[in-house]
Amino acid sequence: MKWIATLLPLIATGICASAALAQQAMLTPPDNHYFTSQGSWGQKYPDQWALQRIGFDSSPSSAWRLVKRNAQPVVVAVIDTGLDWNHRNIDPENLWHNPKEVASNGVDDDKNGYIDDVIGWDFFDRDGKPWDFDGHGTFVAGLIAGSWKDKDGIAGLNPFARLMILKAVNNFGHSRASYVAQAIAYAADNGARVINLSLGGKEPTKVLQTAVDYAHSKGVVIVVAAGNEGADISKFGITGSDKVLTVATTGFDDQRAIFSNFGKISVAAPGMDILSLRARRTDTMLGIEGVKYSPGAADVGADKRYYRASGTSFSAPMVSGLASLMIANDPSLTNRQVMNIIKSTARDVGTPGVDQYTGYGIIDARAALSAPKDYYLFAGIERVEVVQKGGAQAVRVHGTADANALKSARIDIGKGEAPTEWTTIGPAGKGSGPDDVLGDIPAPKFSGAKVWQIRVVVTHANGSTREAHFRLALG
Amino acid sequence: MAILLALGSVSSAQDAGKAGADAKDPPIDWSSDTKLDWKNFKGGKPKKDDLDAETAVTLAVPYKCSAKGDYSYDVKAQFDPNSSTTKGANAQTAALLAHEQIHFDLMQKQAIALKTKLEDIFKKMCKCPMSAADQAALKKAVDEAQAAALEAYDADSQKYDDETDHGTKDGPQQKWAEDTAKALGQPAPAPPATSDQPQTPQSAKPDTKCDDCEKLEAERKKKLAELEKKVAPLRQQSKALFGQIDALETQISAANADIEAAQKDLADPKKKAAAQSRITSDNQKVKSAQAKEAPLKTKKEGIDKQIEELERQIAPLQEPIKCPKCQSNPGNSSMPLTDGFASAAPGGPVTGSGDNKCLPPNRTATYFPGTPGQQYATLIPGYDKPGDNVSYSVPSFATDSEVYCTFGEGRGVPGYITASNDNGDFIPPSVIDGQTPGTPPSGGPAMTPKPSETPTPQATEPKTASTPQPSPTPQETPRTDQPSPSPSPTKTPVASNSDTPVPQTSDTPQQPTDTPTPQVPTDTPPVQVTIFIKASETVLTGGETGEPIQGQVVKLVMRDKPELPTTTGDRSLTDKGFDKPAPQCTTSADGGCKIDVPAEDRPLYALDKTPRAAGKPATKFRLAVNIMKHTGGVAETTGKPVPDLKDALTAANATAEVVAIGTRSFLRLGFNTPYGSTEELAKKFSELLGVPVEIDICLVKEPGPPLGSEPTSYAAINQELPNATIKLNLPAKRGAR
Repeated sequence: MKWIATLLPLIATGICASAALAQQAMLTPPDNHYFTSQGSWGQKYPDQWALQRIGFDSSPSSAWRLVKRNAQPVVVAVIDTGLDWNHRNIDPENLWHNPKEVASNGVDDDKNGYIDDVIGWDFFDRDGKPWDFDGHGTFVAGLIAGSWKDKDGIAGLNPFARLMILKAVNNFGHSRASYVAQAIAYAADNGARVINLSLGGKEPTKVLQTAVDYAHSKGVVIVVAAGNEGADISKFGITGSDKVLTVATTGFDDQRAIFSNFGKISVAAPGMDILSLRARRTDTMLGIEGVKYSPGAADVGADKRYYRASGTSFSAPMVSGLASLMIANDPSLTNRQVMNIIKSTARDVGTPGVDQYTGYGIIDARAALSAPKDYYLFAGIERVEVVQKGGAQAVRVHGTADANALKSARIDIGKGEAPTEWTTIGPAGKGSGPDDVLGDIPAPKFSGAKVWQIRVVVTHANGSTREAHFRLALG
Repeated sequence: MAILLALGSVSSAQDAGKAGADAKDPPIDWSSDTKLDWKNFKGGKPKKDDLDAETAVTLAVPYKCSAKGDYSYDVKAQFDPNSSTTKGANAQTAALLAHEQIHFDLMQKQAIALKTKLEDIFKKMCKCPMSAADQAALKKAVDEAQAAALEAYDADSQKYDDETDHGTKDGPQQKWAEDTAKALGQPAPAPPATSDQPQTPQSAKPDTKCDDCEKLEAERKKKLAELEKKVAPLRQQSKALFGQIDALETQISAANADIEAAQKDLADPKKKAAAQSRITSDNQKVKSAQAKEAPLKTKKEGIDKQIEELERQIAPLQEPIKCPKCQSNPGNSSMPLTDGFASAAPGGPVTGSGDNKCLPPNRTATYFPGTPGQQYATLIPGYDKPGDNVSYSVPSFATDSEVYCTFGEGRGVPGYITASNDNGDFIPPSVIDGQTPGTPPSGGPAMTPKPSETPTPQATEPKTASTPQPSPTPQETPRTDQPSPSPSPTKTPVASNSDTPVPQTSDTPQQPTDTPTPQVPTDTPPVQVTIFIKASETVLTGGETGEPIQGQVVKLVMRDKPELPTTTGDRSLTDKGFDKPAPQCTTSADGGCKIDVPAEDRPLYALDKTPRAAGKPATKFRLAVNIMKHTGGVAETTGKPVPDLKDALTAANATAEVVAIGTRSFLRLGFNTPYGSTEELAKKFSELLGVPVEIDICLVKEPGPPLGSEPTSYAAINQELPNATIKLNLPAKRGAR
């Protein structure tokens, strides 16, 4: 049922989309070696299983077939440890080229404060050569824009991506908030439409939040990895901000990976045993405190050009890739529209409804690339409180129930940890956050059990539904 | 009943000592072989009638930290006879005394724990030089640690009284006795036979050895003071001589560097004459400097021998003689370490457990600043052979603290280089030349040879390669190297010879093999090299501690990054090097690790030239050092005039840089100070700037654990749904189904 529900937007918009698509030449899925192979390191699943899981496969219904062949280039800023730009699976055409900067002339031609910043910037060496001595950045870049031209290699998610390489994470994968903030500002000022941040930091900081606000105000989609500590990110820094997409990791079973942080998650994407590029002479898993790893264990292929790793770092680029592909397909999309669509079309997994592990669910490229640009369908219960209403107690429900074409919303309750029966309390009011009241539930409705679930079910005019659950214990 | 009275928050060692000095009887130090006796309770009767006894215990923390960074300290659990009371003979039961003894023992437990904390504090905060502000900061840290220990004791003691009901519950009392004895490494005590019988006072044992012991201790102090007086001026002289030698070394190095540069010009007919002239002139400079250097070295060696001999005599005198308690002599403090502290008068010896010495005169080194976050490990004159684990202070760590997330103080990571075979075994340079690619030398000495095993420099005559080579290597350039029994810190002059073969490679940056350089440079030695790393802790504001750093990741990075790609050209030329492992290592417990560099990768890292002597790199190479955690701050200054921070930045050893985000501006501050002072500096700059300075937090990459190694503990808490617990007024029978 969940699967059908998320496909409904496709059905609802299918007629118009088909008419439009018929007149366009669309992309043909790639046939790169690793995209079509399986078991390259002895595993029983396709080497690039993650792409296939979110809809980028070779089938007739592949998400890539929803992308125009003449889609527009889109600049994706990868704020990370840099890039091995000589890797043959990275096509120079997939790198951003600062149009106003002349390479190696020692002059700040575009007067942006950075000399010879042709493909990006190294914020530590303070030069225009953000080379990757760690490997993390190259891995991330390969997921987004590994060149389809290298038939022996992997297929990146977006062949129209132009990678802006911003090395604001040092040779060991460490940085400070102000450097990352500086890089975010650079990306926003120099034309990036998407920023990928496969980074984590626990404390919120003003400088970083300012940069996020700034980039968001300039129309940039910001994608952030949730982190890998298995921890609640509610009080972390920019993760969970409504101006970013916070990405959790799912595994082969479509469930949250055990290490993936939880809390204010927007969406999830596969991030287990992911294959991508290895920057030469690097081994990014080496030297990480607390991680058991043998040197070279993650290398893939006889020539060791490839690498496999797990983590939210590698789920985030899936979302960045999809976001950038959506923009490539329709450059008029705003960042808010992109974020709304990605969340609203995500495939619900785990406990039904929006939850703290996977947010709206695993991204669904087919649904996202075929959704109307103003499409959104949100449900969420942020908090509850006990209120006096008409001289009696009631439980007031705060949260989100909204859609671009809202048909209905209702509040249900059910007994126990996993209710099999639900009692409808009544219609829910429209809401878009923790301050908005969705409805009140009279206290006597909670008689008969100590643990309850509250559910808000939101229905779009096209028939799609989205629900969110809240666990309530009576103390 | 008994009650325990801790002496409150004794704020310093001096205060603690004073508390004892003002009393009639000195405090009694805890000792494993001395137990409390009712006669020690000399404070009269308890003020409250319902108490049978009162026991007063505290922690004394005598310490000293000299301006040179050497320190001594101790922690003593002490019993104060004058504040400890007993109701009288009828209350003086063995059981109650045993109960009170455990209170004293519990304080000793805290003393042991505090000692560990203090070691960290002194290592970090007693540095060289030690200013008045540093002393104040140290005192504050010691006081806080002491207060925390007393608080911990209070909690422990209260729990003890609660569980034993002040000793009246035999079972819990026995358990506490056993647990406490175990914690202190003592045999488990037997339960008292009777708990109600008054204890018969024991007679004091006469201590006839006390006076003799004190005489010996006084003699030790006197002798030590005499020797220290003799060695001090010698150390000064040695330091001065080292400075002169070092200056000459610098001249020699500069001249040698110029000789190398001039050699390249010999190939150019236009520059040849000038180059020859430079070589001649430089050779003269080298010879002149060496001539001056030789007598200085001889003199220094003589002085160093004297220092060594005196230090040999001093070493056994450092440890104080701990005299037994002289119960017949109340004037004896019976606190060995407190006594040591009290005797730390000017000129007198200071006993204790460590020191953070100033940089020894022969251990200074040169720091070669690189780009932010990078350091150039390079030749350190005089300490350039394997086994010379030289740590060096880093004058300015600004760039690193801006970038990295650092903990503790700054770190110096010296690197030295030598050639090795495929097994990582050391190869003398003489063996390297003439080796064929991939052929490990046979019978090479161990990886880290002793100084006596260190190979000699190359012969003075031009070397004829044993196998034909397409072009001569720099090592084949005729030199007038002078053999010496051990590696010399100096570079010997190169002969001026117009017929010198012109090397095909130079010291100019090499193109990495990943950029279009289809062939390995012809002078690349045919074997791998190994870089040995030794990481040790240094203190930014003073000398080194020399403590090895474990777990520090060090990477060898290209000196010159590859050129940016173009959309044209054959990319296969740059598509190399994926078969190579990451050139990095993580330091082990001794602070050491090594990086093997394959032969074909050597040009990439500016290691293309064979070391002339063991440990001497021909060119500088580049190491990146991972420094965990961090100190730094950031403040928004949008629309606010930023005051002149020059003096404040200098005083705080900090840096500042503007970061613009749209129309808003921030000031990034890098603090080159121990991690613990970050908040204090943030506060200080907040006041100067008039805006809050927040800590510039660390962000890290987010790869997760490799497949199959995910800790299951992550899944311990199910938080899939948002949740809350509320209270509702519901009918009483709810939930009855």
